[in-house]
Amino acid sequence: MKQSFRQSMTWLHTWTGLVVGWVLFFVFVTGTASYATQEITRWMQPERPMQPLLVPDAATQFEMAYQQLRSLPQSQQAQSWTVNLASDARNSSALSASWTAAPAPGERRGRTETLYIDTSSGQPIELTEPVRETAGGRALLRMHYALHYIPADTAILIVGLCTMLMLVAIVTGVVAHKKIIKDFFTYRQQKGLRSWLDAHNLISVSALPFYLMITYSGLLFFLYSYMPLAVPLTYGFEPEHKDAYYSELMTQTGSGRVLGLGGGGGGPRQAQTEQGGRSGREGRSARPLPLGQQAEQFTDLTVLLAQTEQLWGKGQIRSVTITPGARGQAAQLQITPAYADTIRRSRGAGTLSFNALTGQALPAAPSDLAAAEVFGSSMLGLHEGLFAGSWLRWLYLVSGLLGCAMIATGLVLWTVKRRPKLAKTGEYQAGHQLVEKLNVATIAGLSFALAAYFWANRLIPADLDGRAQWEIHSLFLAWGALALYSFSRPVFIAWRDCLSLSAVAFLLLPLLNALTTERHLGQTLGQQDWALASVDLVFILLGLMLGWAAVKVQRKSGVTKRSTATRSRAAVVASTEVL
Amino acid sequence: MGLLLFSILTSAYTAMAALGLSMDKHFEQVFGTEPKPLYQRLLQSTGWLYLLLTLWLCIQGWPLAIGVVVWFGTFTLMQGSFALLLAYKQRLSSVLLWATLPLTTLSAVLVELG
Amino acid sequence: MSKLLQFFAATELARYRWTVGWRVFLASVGGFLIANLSVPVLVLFADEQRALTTYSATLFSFVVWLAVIMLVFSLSKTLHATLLVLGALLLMSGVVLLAQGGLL
Repeated sequence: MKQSFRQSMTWLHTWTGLVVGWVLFFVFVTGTASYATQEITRWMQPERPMQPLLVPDAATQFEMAYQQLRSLPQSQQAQSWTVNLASDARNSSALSASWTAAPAPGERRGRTETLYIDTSSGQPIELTEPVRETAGGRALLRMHYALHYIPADTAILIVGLCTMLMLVAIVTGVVAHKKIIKDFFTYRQQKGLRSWLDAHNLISVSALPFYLMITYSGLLFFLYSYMPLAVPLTYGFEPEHKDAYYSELMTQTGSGRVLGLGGGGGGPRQAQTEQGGRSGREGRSARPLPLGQQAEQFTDLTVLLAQTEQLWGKGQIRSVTITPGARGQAAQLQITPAYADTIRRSRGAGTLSFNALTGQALPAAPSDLAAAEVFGSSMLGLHEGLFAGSWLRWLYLVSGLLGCAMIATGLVLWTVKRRPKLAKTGEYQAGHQLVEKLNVATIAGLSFALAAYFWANRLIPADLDGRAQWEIHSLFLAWGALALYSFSRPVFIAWRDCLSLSAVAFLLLPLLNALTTERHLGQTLGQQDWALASVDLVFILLGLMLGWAAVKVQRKSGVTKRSTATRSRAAVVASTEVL
Repeated sequence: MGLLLFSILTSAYTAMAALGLSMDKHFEQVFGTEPKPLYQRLLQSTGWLYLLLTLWLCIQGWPLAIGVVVWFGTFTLMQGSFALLLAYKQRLSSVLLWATLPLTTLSAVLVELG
Repeated sequence: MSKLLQFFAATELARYRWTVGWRVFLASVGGFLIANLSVPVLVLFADEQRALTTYSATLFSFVVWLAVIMLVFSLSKTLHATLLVLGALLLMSGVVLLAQGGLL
């Protein structure tokens, strides 16, 4: 279409990037936030206890929780007992004991009750206030792929289309960049358009493997929605054909074996019960003794805990699950490690199982999977990054933020490149203006909206019904308000004001936190609850970055006004000379 | 873990700085003269060597596949850091390389012995 | 193609836009169909492990779509792009139909 391959790829990169840039910015922002889902939720539920200063070893913690489970009347009839330890695992700041009841008729899962335990005394923690209902980090995670206010199926398709176009944008971006290796470290500052291009290129190259992985794996999450004809064209369009494909796939990939379907061991029992109808094991137990009674026959489970902690290291046990014996299977104790040792998306990989009566270790499930399955589940696992410990998770967060910056610089670059050509047709100018305003509304607007989400969490009364939905509404209302503002103002002023507002909103969050809760930096740093403290610290960091951007806009608009004035004076002089 | 992390960060910076400075335009940017072929070869070899060393260090601290992911992520950080230093503090970018090279070697040896 | 465009679109700009729009259609809809069809076509080459091949081919189909998009926009003549995409679609559908009809 254009003269050369590289030029046509540049064209493709520009237009695919532009069309999906705004939606993708939203996806990247919420997606990046999702790497801290549970930390965000905990920040948004300040009534929850903080991480204890002194964390006793796993065996001691288990002993405390197990005592509660053995003695409480509510837990005796449960279908399973779980102890979540305070450990190095993510979202493992407190010791808790939970029990899950059998599902009531019509329910897929039974209710789970959780008791938080004070690790210094072994006694249940009495919460002074009930924990507020919140949309939490989960809402951001969900919005990341299913947007909001739109039916989920439609939203998933929209996001999918944008993701596919993003894949096109990334690949064409690499192909179009002739000197990509030579420019690997290049950033020329204060050179206007060139600096924007350098910035966009540098950021894009910086986390390129991450972007490729994130985009491609994103498509894989809804594989059959995004390629709906693939399986039907191969197997047939009837529902039974689709079922035939899935059951064949289960066998051929080896996942059937690993999940313990059709006999054999498998992952943590909880995962199996959550498989629901698929495992076909529900309702088959012929009235075994309740868990509480069975527990009297159990061996000393604490010893197994101590052994495992020796093996894995301190703080490396995330949770312990105890399931009663049923027909054909003895009661089990399952110990789950803090972090999976594989990038594959797997439930409790590395879990050790023991016979609860004898203490004997049970053989691990066979884990030979087909290469395609390993590839697929690895892609999904890499996207979610649940296997990532602290350092790697921060790297994920940085890469995600860089992704947001990549999109933002790309969108702005598009407008900066075309600004000098504004003197052309009127139609051209309208399109350009629209993009400029959408850029402010999206980039600065969403930043403000995100801060507003957290402001809403602190300001909406804790006991208000439906407050979770209102937190989300606040996000979009704030976004809408700022979008309206950006459309009604000249572009530079809109940028300056919206960025400044976002910066202030974030910088004041830790202060708001201190004024409204007992979980502010003063408390969290003192208590060494680093996970919770880091949320406030990241707010400050975001505020500083947005503030820096606002300052740069202010300086630039000062320069532009002067140079525009100079240019128009020069133009007047030139025109008089011509005349 | 602290020592390992330190060694990974310094090693990654060494690799990025060495490879970056081996390029004509960046060498000139920092040192003001055109690079001699010998220097370029030295810098390139060092760069690639420390690239591999970083990978080795990452695999020491994490299971293989996860270590590779850490490797990529760390380079994201260090590539960006070096590029920014090049743009704003050229002197510091090369001075740092003089520092990280021995520091990496030392800490890597300690990691191996420990 | 250009004669057709000259009939419909008056200005150079309008013709250009129609061409671009057509390429977008070819790349998006045509590419999407080619990507989906690539799965049963590839499965024809797999005797055992049909489900696994289907799965792998579906994973790969996004790359196929990407390739079609890049191809459609890199060819200098829109006519070539049209012929390639339509040709591929006809060929692939034909192969799949024949295979399922038991003739291949």
